[in-house]
Amino acid sequence: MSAAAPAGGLERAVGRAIAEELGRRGLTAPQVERRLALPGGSLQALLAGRGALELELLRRLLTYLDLEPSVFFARLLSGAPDGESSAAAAPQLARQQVAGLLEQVRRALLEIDAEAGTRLASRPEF
Amino acid sequence: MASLTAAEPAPVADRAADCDELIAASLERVFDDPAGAVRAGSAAVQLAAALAVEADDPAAVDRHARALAYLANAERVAADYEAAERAMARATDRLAAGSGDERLRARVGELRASLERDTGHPEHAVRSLRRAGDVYRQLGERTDLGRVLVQQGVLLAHVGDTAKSLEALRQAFEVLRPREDPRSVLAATQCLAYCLHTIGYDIAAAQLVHEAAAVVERHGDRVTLLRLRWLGARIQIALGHDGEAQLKQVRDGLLERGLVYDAALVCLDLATGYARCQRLPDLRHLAQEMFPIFTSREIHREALAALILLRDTLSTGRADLALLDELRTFLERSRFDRRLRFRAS
Repeated sequence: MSAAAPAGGLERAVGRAIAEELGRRGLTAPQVERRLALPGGSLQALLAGRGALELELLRRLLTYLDLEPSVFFARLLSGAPDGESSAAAAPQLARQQVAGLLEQVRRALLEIDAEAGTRLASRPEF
Repeated sequence: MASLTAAEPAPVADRAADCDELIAASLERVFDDPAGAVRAGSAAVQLAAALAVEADDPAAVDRHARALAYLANAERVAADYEAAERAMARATDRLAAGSGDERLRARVGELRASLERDTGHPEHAVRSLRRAGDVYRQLGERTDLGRVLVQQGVLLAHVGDTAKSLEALRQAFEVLRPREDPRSVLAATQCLAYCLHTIGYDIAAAQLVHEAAAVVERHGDRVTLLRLRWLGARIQIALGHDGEAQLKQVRDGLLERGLVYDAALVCLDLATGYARCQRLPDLRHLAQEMFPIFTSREIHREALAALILLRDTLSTGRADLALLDELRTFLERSRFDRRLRFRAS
């Protein structure tokens, strides 16, 4: 399949799912291309459903995004792409917040983990 | 002069310190020993009332208001809502007569929100929390503001307003300092994972639960870990994986700790899983197992009636997924709103 040829259903679905994952992490396609030393525009083409899906590229992307392939495909094949159908019904606000929030949460968890957790045992007042 | 001093009551400062200690004791005991917390709170109120009359000082009136608010909190946890509302009304009156300490007003507002939430007024609770948050924001109290925002997020998620919950959590993470208030960070993380699951971001939610559970396992307490694992199991089921063993472990762990309401909800998750797979013998067995849990004192009357309806339905071998789903939603919301009535469609 040439780069200009329309991608199949699975490729489009994978492209959408990867785009969702990037969005959640606040990453852009060019950033990831640079990080993985991919040819410029190659990931963007995949996300837009314009490129052929190469297994090696997908494997590297899932590894980079720390996604289990089995979980990724289970969700993809279940008929309800993660974040697609149900999140579409969720307010736009929610979609925009997810990526930044996840980043903030991860930083906070790392900070707690780095600190002795003795204060975690205290009772909440609320 | 010496004998005259000996005959006088203890100095005001000493009695004020005793009162503060009683207030602190009431707060300290409130979850493990609510009755003890009520006793400590009542003693603090008596002492504070006497000091307020004697001292004729706005600070003493503030202390009386604070003692009343913490007594109300203890009575709320002890499920004596009428007494809690009376004490909170008195606390509000005393606050108006006090020094106008904004921080105290905000703190009392937080306690009032807990009471409003538990007495079926979540919208009032959100408003009280928002006001408290405004005060903390003006005072530059980041940790307090973060805690209040997390409370708002959790409350909004429980009443089904995911978008507003996410917005509250976003604001919370901007101000929270993880080392100062790790518990609020974990509560916010769990709430975020729940919201993500609710709107279908299950992969991200599963990752988040996994990361948070690792931290709690190293530093946290068992109940927080159980709640995270419970959410994790629900997400795994949504992703098409088997969560039965994990749900059973969570249910048993919750029951061991007397968290009956949560255990009943886990039973419903298990029942939903069995119903989806048409595992009717397992459903009937579960229905029998569930009954002693349901009849616990912690399950309020309306919820119990709904659960009995479910048990009767399950015992006939019918796998009614819609009923299970309605009941689960009802139980989650009625925990914070006891005015809700269950009507199966």
